[in-house]
Amino acid sequence: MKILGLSAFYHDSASALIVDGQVIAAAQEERFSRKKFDAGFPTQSIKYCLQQGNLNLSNLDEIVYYEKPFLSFERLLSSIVSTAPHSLLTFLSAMPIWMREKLDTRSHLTKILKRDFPEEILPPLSFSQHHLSHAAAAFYPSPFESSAILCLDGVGEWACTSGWQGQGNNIESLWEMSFPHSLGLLYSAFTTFCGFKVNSGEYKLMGLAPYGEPCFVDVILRELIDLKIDGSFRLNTKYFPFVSSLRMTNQNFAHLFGINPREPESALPQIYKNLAASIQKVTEEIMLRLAKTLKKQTGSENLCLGGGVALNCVANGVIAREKIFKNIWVQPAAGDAGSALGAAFASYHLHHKAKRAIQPPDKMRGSFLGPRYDKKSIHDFLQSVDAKFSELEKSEILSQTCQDLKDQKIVGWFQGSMEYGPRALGARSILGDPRHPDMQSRMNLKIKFRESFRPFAPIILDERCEEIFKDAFHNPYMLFVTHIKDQYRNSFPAITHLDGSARIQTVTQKENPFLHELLARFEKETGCPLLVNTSFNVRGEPIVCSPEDALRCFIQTDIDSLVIENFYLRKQDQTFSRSDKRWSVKLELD
Amino acid sequence: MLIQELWQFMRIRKKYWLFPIIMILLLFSTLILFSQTAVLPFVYTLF
Repeated sequence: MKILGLSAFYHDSASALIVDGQVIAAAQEERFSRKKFDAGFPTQSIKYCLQQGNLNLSNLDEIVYYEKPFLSFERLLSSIVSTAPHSLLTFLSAMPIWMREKLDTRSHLTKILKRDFPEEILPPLSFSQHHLSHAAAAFYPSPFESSAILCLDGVGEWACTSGWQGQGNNIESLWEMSFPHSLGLLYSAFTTFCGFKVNSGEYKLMGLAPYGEPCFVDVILRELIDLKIDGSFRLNTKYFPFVSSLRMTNQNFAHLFGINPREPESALPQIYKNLAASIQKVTEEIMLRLAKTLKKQTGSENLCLGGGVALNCVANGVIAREKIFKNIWVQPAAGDAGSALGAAFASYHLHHKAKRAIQPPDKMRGSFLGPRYDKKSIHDFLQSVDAKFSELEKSEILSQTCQDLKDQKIVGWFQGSMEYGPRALGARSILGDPRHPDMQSRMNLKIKFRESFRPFAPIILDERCEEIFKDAFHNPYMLFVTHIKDQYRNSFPAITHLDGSARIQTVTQKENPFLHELLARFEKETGCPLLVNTSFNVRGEPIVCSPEDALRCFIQTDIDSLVIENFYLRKQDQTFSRSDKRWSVKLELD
Repeated sequence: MLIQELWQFMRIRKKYWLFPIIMILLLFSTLILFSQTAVLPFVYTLF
C-alpha cells in the first residue's frame, strides 16, 4: 500500500511517502523552495517523494492531509465569538484565507494537485487529526511494540497537549488539553516577548536560558499558569491575548515583569535571560509531571514524544535523567513537518488496519530521507560554474578533512541523503574542532551570522560518549541535552554551554559509517572523539539541499573548505565573487 | 458538497450555532476573497 502524507498551509510544509509501512522518502518544502519554514503547498517535496518511490500520483492508494480543517475552523470561530468584539481584527485577518483556501481544503488541495500534476488521476484524499498525526509520527516509526505517547505543540485543531497509548498497530487517546491552554503557545509568548520570532526563535530562547537565573518561576506559576500535580494546567488568559488578538502577550504581561517587550536585534539585558531561564524551568516541570502521569496511566517502560515542544531537547534531557521511563524515543521531525509522515502512518495502521513490524533501531533510517545527488551531477555542476575542485578517493577525503579540522579550519560537509526535520545530523553539516576556544564565536559570527550566545552541538563516536558525558545514551537525532563530565569541562569549549550542558548526537558505525570513520580518524590523530556539528546554512536560510545551495553558502561565508560527496573545494582556490548575483541570496532574519 | 460536509460536521459535533456564522461568511465570501490576510511575525500561526 502506497500512502503520501502532506502537511501544509501553516508552517514547515512537507510530504512523506510510505510504501507497505516502510518510509521511502520525506522532505520539507523549504529545502527546495529555499524559503525558511515555507508554508506553501509542498509540490517540489511531493515530486521528490514520488521520484524516490518510482511512482506517480495515479499509483498511490491514498493522500492524507495532516489535520482536519473544519475542527480548526470551529476552534477559530469559537475563540472569535467568545471574545467578541475584541476579536474583530483576528476575524478580519483570518477570514480571507479561510474563505479562499482553508475551509474547503479538500477542493483547494485537489485544485493544486490537478494543476501541478495535470496528467494524473488523483487518488482518494483523506484527513487525519493534528495530534493524532503527531502521535503516529512519534509511535509508529519507533522501536517499541507498546509505548506511552506524549504530544505537545502550539495548537492544531483544539488539542495542544495530548496523551496516548500505542500498542502494536493501534494508538488510543487517553486525554487531551485544549486551546488556549498550550505549553507551546506559552513558550512562544516568552519567545516573542524576549525579542525573537515566534516559531523560529524558540530554539534561541532555550539556548539563552543557561545565561539567566530562573528567578521568575514562582511568578509564572502564581500568575500565568495554574499547574496541577498531574501536569495539567490552565493559562491565565488575562496575560495572553492571542485568543482574541494578533499578539502573544499584552500590557498585563509586561507589568507583571516590570519590563517592556525586547526589540528584536537589540541588546539583551539580564532580565530577558532570566525570563528565558524561568520559562524553560517551568516547561521542564510541566513535561516532567505529564511524563509521570503517563507512566502511572500506562505502566509502560517506553515513552514516545512528538509535537514541536518535543524539540526542546533540554526538557527531553530532564525527562531522560529522571528515568521515569526505561526508554525514550523522540521523532526527529517532531514539529508539523513530521506530521506528514504521521498522517500517512495513522491512515496505514488505523484506517487500513495494516500490521506493524518493529524495526530496530527505528524506521527513520537516521532521518536521512531527503534528496541525494549522484557524483556525475555534482561533477557536472561544479564544472559548469567553474569551481576549482579535486575529485578524491573516500580515504583521501577523510584524511584531507581531518587535516583541515586539525588546522582549525571550518568544513562544509555534504554527504548522501539530506535530513528530514530541523537538525543537521551529518548529511548537511558544518564541522569544526571543538577544542578551540574561539570556534564558537567564529562559527556564530563569521559562518552562521547569528547571535553570539548561541551554542553548538557536538557529534561524537557513540562508543566514546559515556566517557565524556554524564547520563549518556544512544542519541542519534540530537534531541537530548546532557552534561559534560567535570574533568572535560574545559576541554571542548566550542560545544560546552555555560552550564556545562551539550546537545549531543552520537554516531555509530552502522548508522553513518563515513561520518563515524571521520570521527574515528580525528580521534586517532588528536585524541578528541567529537566535532562541532552545526547545520549547513546561515541565519534565516533553510539547510542546504543541493550542491548549488552548498556552494552558495560556501561562497557567502568564511567556511574554509567544502566536501560534496568525494569532491573537495578549498576557499583560497576559488575565484567566485560574493557580490555576484548568482551567489548572493536575500534572507529574512529568523 | 462543502455545505453538505459542513452540515454533517456541525451535526456530529453538535455545534449548530456555527451554521448562521458560516452562512453569512459564505454569502459575503466574494468580498472577503478580495481582502488580504496579514501575516504577522509576533503571533503563532493560529489560523
